[in-house]
Amino acid sequence: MLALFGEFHDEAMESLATADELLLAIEGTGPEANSVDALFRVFHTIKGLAGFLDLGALGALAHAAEALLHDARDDLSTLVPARMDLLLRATTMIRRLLEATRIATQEGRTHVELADFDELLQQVLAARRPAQATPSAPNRPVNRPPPPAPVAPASSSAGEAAEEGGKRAGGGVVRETLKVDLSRVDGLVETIGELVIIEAMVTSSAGGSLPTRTQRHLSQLSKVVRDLQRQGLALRMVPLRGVFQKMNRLVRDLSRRSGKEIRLELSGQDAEMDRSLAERLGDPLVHMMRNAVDHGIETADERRAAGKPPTATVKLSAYHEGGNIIIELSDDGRGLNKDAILDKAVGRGLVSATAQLTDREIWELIFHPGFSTAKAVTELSGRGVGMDVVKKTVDELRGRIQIASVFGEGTTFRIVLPLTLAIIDGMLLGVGGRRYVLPTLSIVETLQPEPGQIHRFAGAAILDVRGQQLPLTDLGELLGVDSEASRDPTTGFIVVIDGIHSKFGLLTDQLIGQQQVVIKQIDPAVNQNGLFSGAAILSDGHVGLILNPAALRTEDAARRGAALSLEP
Amino acid sequence: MSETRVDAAPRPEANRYLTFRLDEEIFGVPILEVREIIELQEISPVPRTMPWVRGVVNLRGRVLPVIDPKIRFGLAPVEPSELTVIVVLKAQDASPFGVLVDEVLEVQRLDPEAISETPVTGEAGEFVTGVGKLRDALLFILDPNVLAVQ
Repeated sequence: MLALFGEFHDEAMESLATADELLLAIEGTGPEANSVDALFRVFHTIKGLAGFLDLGALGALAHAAEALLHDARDDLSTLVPARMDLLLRATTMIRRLLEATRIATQEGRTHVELADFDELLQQVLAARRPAQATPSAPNRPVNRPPPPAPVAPASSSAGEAAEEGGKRAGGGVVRETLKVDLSRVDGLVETIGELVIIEAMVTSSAGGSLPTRTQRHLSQLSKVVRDLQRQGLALRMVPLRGVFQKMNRLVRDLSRRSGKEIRLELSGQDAEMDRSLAERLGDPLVHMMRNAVDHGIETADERRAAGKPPTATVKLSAYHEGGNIIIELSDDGRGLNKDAILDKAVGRGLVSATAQLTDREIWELIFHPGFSTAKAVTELSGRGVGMDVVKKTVDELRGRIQIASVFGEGTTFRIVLPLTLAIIDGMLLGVGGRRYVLPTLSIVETLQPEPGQIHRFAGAAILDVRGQQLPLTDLGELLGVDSEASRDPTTGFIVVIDGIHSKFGLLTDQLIGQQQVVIKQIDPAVNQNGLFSGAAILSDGHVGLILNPAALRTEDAARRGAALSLEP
Repeated sequence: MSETRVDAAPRPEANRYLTFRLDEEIFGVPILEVREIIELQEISPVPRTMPWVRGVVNLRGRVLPVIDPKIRFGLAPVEPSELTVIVVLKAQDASPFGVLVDEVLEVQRLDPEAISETPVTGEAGEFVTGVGKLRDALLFILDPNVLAVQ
């Protein structure tokens, strides 16, 4: 019975996203015939598929929702706020039901039950009764749209509905799409990766020894290979629209529940990034949004008292910069309270009371595990999950997060992420004659240490950068290789790295240069302490291990013993 | 193997072993678990890992760990020579890995009856699943699953 469920699940989820988008559009600008039609088709499709798969409850709810929209098609004015609310709740319920069914299918169960399902179904059914009691709809709109084309095979109309939604939101652009098994795309991208490596090997080993003609052909080949690589990676790219649209719904719900008036402005929804990155971005964004609404944004009264417009504005935007994608979330709320954060941090023993911290360093304290300035755990941002989870996810995606905040005026979070997890910009480091790759995104600055800039005591090393003290990790020593810089740091270089909880310096012999590398998995069994996040094939065909900055620092601190660590 | 075989006869590969030399002893691995044999190339060491992991090499764009079985058996490491090669194994429960050997010999056919399961003592013991008798030497049969990086 549930054999076809997987396909239905994906299709229905897509349709539901379209439904949410349409509902919110209707809520914003009022109902219009086109959007009501599209919405009707979404529910109709779900009903059809549910019937086909024998998912009775789901079908019943979709049918009830469809009936409300049927009314609306006859008379747009029947789409009153209460009904809109029911429709939104119905999409949520269907989504939950689908998830529960998916899990049940995986576990081999055939029965699913959701506690509040019947209640909602009854409400949706009840909503229609009064409308039916007055069947004479006198003010029928004159410009009634032509009846939609007969909605036959359900599976194709889901596509239509999704297309409709995409078209509306995308400003009239209809793109033809083809569904391809993800493993095929990954296989292709991997093969292209091999091609890129071999091409680099050929080019670098050929050098200047070739006839001009061959060199010219070789450079043409290089260009084509780079094009192919770019296109291959583009296959995995998805627009951020999906992630962003969920925020619309979230903000609406948060706004309802908190009683705060919030307007969400989205921009850059067409910016694309790797599908796996986009998926993992969802949770941190939800958390940041909840945080912003719960802690950042004031109530309408508070805002009026502060001379601000009563409706708060939250802006979520995405744009490309260099080889990265930037995602910014800013609110015009009360801003971060420097003193409150410092007090809390000192109280928790995270920093000393006499520490002189820059604004940025103070803001970054909120990323510390368990740090929360909320007076009480609220329903909205609760569950004790802190900003440290956001930071951790961003680190795992090899990105960075920055905060800017003005007290009383608002806060901006800026997440810088690589476009893909398959390729990174790396800095090639040389230590003890070996080469390692460090992700460029985690580098704050590089410097050549001067005598007196490094202090050692009891085996630990401290780096003094313009009056700021940072722990220093000796890469050669940590990796157990013979490094000149270990003996005399002034012969080497220091890379200042933005770690999970703090910045630290990494001492190395040489900075060889920047290189874009394709990330290869390494057998986790040979990398048990996680010092490396992968490996890259360098242009001479040798393997260069990719350093995992956070693990380097943790490992170094652990080796020295917690007592000597500067970190809390 | 998706095809269904009607006859019960074991496939001939099942009794064949790729043999190689470590110091003066001869070892073998079931041929079915051998992916390929590649020439020795520069191995990039992996710091802070097990001592018998010599490092990783680039196998057509994939990163392949290479182990030194002699270190694993408590012997001196494999000294690279002209005969040294890397045997790439794919054990059932592990990802592919390379084994550094002093010299690769030939493929030997050995009937199950010719293999004794006499336990072998010493550090190599846990890797040896049986001992076969060749014309003028013993063949120690290794289990790639145990040898694998885990």
